[in-house]
Amino acid sequence: MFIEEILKYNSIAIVGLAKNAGKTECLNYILRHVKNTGKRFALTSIGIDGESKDQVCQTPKPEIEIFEDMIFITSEMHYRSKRLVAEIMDVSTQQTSLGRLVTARAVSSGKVLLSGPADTGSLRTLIHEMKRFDVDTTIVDGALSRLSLSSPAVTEAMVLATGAALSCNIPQLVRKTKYVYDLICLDEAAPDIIRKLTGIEQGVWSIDEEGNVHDLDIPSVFMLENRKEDVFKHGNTLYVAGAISDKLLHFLRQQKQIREITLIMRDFTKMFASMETYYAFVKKGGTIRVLQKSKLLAVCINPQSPDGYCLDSDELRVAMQESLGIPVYDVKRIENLKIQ
Amino acid sequence: MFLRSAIEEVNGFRYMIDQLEIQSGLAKRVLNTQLYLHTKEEIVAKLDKTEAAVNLLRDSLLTDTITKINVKLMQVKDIRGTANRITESQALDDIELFELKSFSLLVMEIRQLLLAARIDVVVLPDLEPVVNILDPEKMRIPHFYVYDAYSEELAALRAKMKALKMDAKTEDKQLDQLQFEHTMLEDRVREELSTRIHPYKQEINEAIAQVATLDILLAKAKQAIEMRLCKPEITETVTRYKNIFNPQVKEVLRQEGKKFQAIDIDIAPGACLITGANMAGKSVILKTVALAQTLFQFGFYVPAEHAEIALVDEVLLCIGDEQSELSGLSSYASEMLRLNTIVQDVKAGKNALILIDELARTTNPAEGKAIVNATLDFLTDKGARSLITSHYSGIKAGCRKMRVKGFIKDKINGQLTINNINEFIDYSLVEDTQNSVPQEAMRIARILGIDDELLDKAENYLEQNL
Repeated sequence: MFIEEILKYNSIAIVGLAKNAGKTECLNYILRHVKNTGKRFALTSIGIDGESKDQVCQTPKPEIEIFEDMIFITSEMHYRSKRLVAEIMDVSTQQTSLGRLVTARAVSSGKVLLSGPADTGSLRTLIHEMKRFDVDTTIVDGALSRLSLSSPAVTEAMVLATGAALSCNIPQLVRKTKYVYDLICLDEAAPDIIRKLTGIEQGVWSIDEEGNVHDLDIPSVFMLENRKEDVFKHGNTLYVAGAISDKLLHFLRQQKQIREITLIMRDFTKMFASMETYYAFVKKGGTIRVLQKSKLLAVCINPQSPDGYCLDSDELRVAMQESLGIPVYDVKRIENLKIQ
Repeated sequence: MFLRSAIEEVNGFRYMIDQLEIQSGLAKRVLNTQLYLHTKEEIVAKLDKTEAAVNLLRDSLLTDTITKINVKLMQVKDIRGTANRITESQALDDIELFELKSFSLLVMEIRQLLLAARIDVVVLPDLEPVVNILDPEKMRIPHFYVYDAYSEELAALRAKMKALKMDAKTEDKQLDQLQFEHTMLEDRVREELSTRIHPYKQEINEAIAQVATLDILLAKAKQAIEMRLCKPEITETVTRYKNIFNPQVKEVLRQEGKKFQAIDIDIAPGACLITGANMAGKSVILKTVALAQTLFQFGFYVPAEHAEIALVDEVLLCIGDEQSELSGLSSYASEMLRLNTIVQDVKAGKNALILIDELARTTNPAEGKAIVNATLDFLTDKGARSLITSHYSGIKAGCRKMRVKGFIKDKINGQLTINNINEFIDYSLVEDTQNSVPQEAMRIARILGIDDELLDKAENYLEQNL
């Protein structure tokens, strides 16, 4: 199982591809299985999460169950409504919309509403500070379509939750999940190029045959249109520090030397182009590389959609497994089988 | 006036405050609300405390202790909100009890360090009784929850809930009911704790104030040593500075590899006119005097080798107003309105230090000169301590006159440029008996590299006039 894998990392993000994709069940499953491993876990979220009612759809949502001696970080407001005995270890000076962040250790097991820092920068700091409390692994519960926290710059590894909430049609659900999976699996650029590009936080850059980096002086890819003639003057390898848009991939695909073009992005979370545009670019021979590759530990599926529709768990799991080529888990089903 | 508003008004004061190495947010906020002091006793008390802190920092045997104290101060959080709730006998929640416990533990530790080193610049109250209330297990670590030790009933309930949770047959409804009872019990314990803490409200508030004071004092002392500030003496007659300097300008010059020339200046009751060439540092003199007086009035050391300072109720400044255009007034109009408030304050008997830079410079010299003369007469009559700079010749008012020495004659043939001009100027002040002011505008314009054709024309005009 992927539980042993989790123990190897300092930080894990649990991200859902859609609201109600089964992220919380997946998290609860993980927590239940790591509680007796002798390691210390910390749990937090980004922004608001763990509401007993979904803030967007108002559908009921499983709460997060924390076990004895686990550490959790949540806002003052959510801390006060916790349903477990916990010992406060720290209160941040930084404010969030729900008050300061409280770091506490669960004295008894019980349910809690999780919230956390509002931005990935603060989250990264928080994960780093967990060393102070002898935490082995920090697990971050994702929020609505926030893939950004699973950026390898924030958390070391990730677990992906997908399910009927994303699509009720199995082939389509598999295709959509496969797209994210393919992005996660993108290869890293050559080590010397990574070294040169890592510190560059903005702009569009070109890398020539000798591996020299040139600033194309285009502040954003949205301004590429006006500078078409300059884009390839140093070579066919480009680095875009910010988001990759549909427009950029369309433009690159239309170049006649498309087979020679390599586009480098920071990590998979920078891809904002649609699935169709991405595959069209790749099919015509374009190459995409990342500076930092993500580590995907598992894909969890939830066959149940929030409107009550339920896909066949086995059929979905097999289809997903065949397409992705890695083990896929329906955690709810695994748990139910155990109880029976 | 609060320190935070003085920062906005007095040039260079913000720099001094920003440079203070204060450890806690609490002390920073407390410092901002310190008041402008009006009595000799208050100022002396503050200066004496700072002196005591300076002596502590100079004692090499205490270096280790001071470092440890600073590390503790860094962890201090502002719990004044919680302290207010304690004072008002309100029930505290877990987060507030946690804050109080970690604060009290820090105070205990700092107090131990102070006692062991026999440091008495501040006296911290003993918060051990508060810690004892919040630390029933005597772990002495800054964590908190409603411990089992507070209530046998609570401990029993928790044990029962734990057992029931392990049992898969337990219904959620039953657990919910117990959870509710648990919350009620915890609330009761918190109320009891709050009641037990209430009697220590004075000690807690005192500890907050003293910890902030300690933090501020250590930062002030460190700055005094590093910037070579001096403890001013208090006088009732003439304010005297020996080698006064402007720390911010000094630092800027230092970074450019240049030296700041400190000067001596006396400020007696009555007006004093300061003349001098452009770039001779007249404005810097006014700003530095304003800064030193303000620092003194807030109980800080001052940037000079030696200082005797007379108390004033207010520092009234009129130094080039950038706000004038924004308020829709011409620079002349806003200057006159400012001058008028100064005059009204003096008439009302306010004991102020008045500093006016290039009075009436934006109007014609004939009328401007008259305004300068009148202002000097008025301020001298009223005995108001004031420094006024001007470029106007023939100021006839019967006041004290000083002049910046200006260009050093024997160095005059060196290669003078905009970058080394400060080496050719003697910034010190001398008594001035002449009525004419130095005529060096042309020369300085040439050094600045202003267009020759233009300056030749100007010289022509000058010659024709003479």
